Amino acid sequence: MTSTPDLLHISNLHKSYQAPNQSTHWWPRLFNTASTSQIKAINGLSLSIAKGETLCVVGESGCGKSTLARLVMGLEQPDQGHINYQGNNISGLKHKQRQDYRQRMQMVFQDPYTALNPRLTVLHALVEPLLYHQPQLNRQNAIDQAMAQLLAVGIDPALAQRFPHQLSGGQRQRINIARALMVQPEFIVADEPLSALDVSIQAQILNLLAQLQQKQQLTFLIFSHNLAAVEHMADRVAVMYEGQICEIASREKIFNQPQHPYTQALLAASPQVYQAPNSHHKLVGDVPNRIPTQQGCSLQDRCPKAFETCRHQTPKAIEMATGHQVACHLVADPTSTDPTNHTQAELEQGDHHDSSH
Amino acid sequence: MTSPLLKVTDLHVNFISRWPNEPNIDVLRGVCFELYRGERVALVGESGAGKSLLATSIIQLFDSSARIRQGQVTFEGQQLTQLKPKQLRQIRGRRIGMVFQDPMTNLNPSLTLEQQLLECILSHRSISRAEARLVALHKLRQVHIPAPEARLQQYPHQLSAGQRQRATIAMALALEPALIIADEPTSALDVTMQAEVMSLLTHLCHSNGVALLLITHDLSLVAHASDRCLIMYAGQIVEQGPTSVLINDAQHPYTQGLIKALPQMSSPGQTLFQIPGQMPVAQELGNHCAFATRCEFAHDRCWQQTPTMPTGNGHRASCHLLTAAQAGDE
Repeated sequence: MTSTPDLLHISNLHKSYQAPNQSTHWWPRLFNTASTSQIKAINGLSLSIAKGETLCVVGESGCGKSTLARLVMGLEQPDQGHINYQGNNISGLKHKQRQDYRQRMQMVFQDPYTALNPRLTVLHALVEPLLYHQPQLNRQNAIDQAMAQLLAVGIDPALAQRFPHQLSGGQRQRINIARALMVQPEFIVADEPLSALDVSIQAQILNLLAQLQQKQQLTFLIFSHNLAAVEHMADRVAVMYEGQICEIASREKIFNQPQHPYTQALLAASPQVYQAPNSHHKLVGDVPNRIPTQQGCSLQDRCPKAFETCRHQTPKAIEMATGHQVACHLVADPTSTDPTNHTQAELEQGDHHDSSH
Repeated sequence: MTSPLLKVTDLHVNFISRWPNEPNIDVLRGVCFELYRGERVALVGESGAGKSLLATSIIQLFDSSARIRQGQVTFEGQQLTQLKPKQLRQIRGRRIGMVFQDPMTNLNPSLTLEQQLLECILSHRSISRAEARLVALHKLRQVHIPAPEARLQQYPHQLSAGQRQRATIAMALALEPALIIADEPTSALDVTMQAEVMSLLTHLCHSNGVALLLITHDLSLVAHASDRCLIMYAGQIVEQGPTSVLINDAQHPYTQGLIKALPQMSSPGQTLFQIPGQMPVAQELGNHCAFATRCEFAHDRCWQQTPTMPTGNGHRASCHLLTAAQAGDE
């Protein structure tokens, strides 16, 4: 074990789903006889999170962020690979064995409007997980704890008897966070906690998360595509594409010296108030659907800097500096390409591939 | 000076109350703004400020319980508020195109793109189906949809989210409108798709001379995608002006708060500025400044009198602090 033991360690994780049967004829669809393909949602992903840190995972929709969140929480089972929590493998645990971990890790879901049961009052929603995990607890005691938690997330306890539809979006997201904190977890997974909220409410939630982390020494795994918020709260940032981590580094490294073309493109696409938009690192085309198992780098068709090696060889993660890993052939061998002579051809090829699926 | 393409004057919209003894409360409270040909105007505000209601009020696409109580909407010299439904239909889609937030619910899932695009074109223009198809193909190419012939035969679920939103932009453009109203066109999209859709809208507006009314809650998005900016709060426009001026020199405390609340505005790890409290609902609005409940500079006058927007063309805001400062200068 190292000096700062990892709270969570994920190694070589794989998860695929059955692709919908694309056959146009009713017979193979009904009996599922046509050859169906697999969608690889998570494709050999490795990651570790130290205790007390905030790791933000960024990426476009469809890159497998939510699948990863659900795998970590045990809501889905991986096909292959391990998820170790404090040294114990927790993937593939049975329901009963999982109970203990469910108390220690909690999740905040993306949409505060659908994550709360519309038929439960705020108080009921908060007390329920507590009584489930600690059935011996006195009811009044549980209610007191819920009230204290409401205060901790900045909600007036007078709202405890309200139903979700009587609350604003920011209040609902606070209730979601309060509910996750009810069982005193040490690890929080938040799947796009800000994307459904207005800018002014985002600030409130960001402050709340920072404040709670300081007070309770929480570890956060946050999935987001809001780069401004990520820059504000992350200790480390992992950039995800096609079910793999393409770059992982400290916040300063990612935002000041991004190495992977995809990271550069994401940063360039993020709107800035006082800086003119940067159009140098533009991606072409859309996120491909992952059914065709093509050779080479998964970004090859969209990357403006792709060259020959990218077509037939999958890049491996390379440690550039301590804690800064990049999976890109360009970084591995910067002399192998001249970025001036192929851009137009690559652009056309990107478009062509895009239209074929 | 040329006359504005769209002119909204003192627009009040309320919802008819379901109960006879409850008063109808104005949700839009005296909105005034102008929009010129080829101009890109951003309408910024929190959810519940009345942004979408304003957009739908312009072409009267709102809920049947909403009524324009007072005010005028003038578009290309026509009074839209006095038109009959049939005349309005001539303007919707043809002169004013609309792009909605969620492309999945905006497109009909059971019709192919061709059916939807052609329906839109043929209901306004008397041309043959073959000609309409050519128009549709041309528009799909304009929005950079690859292989448009094949795409026309596909259903919305077969497109990616970015392509779907581009298809709705193609549909809004199909009849060469003078104005496009885009209601949060990128909220459902990723940053990369957002950048693409925004650059596409900007490019199309420049090349076709189309005016754009862009509705959003994200100030960082409008910073480089609009010429002029309107800040909306509780059913009123509280500040307006050229985007670059407004962002660098915000006058109204609400706009200042919105900018300060952006995560980019403070160094990582620092506590972000947050506007305390939340926007009052229409019933709670009294005869005072709507922002007074959350404003750190609120003084006696803010609680006694509603501030008014100064007349003029440039950068201006409706706030008692500013009128007091100007009076002091004089």
